[in-house]
Amino acid sequence: MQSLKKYTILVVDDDETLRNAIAFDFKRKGFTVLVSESGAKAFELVKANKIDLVISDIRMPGGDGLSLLEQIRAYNPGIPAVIFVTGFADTTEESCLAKGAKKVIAKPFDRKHLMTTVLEVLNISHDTAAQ
Amino acid sequence: MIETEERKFLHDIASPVGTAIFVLDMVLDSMKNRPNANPDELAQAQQVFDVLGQIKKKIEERRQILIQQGVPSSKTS
Repeated sequence: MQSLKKYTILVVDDDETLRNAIAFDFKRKGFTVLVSESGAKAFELVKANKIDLVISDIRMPGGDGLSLLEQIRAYNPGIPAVIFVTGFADTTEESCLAKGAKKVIAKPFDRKHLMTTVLEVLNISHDTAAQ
Repeated sequence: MIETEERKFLHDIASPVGTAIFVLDMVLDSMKNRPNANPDELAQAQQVFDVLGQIKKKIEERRQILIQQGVPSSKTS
């Protein structure tokens, strides 16, 4: 549990219920978690904290996920991002990957798939995560 | 990109369905770990989870059909 605390994950989604649920799940796993309801506020957190990974929705009022990806890439391209899309709106998986997203997950998604994806992006073994 | 009524509808329901699945999955895990878990309540919660899984599958299937038809034109949008 202690070994995961050094990883800080920023969860960005305007859906408060989902945002808090994801945050709770990753905190319970042992990660340090920050949350934001918009891309603009998220970027302020990126600048003010050492963030190891960003999980972000794509469509949000007050700064969307694509703008956030662009800002992160310009500020620190070493911060990986996992992006949620629905598969039915304007933003494509390809455009997210082109903007620097490490992984793109379609909503509705499986909770365990999100956890597996995050562990994979952060190069954390399942054994470490299970401790 | 053209946004059809169907795509807008599917977009609008994909997020809340995803949220419901995520939260209920957490609740189920919590219930399963309780030593005094009520098996009937657990079974009912599991049934709701399975139904949400069916909705999720329908959304995914429809997404694939729309992708194959070129609406939307990209793999995931």
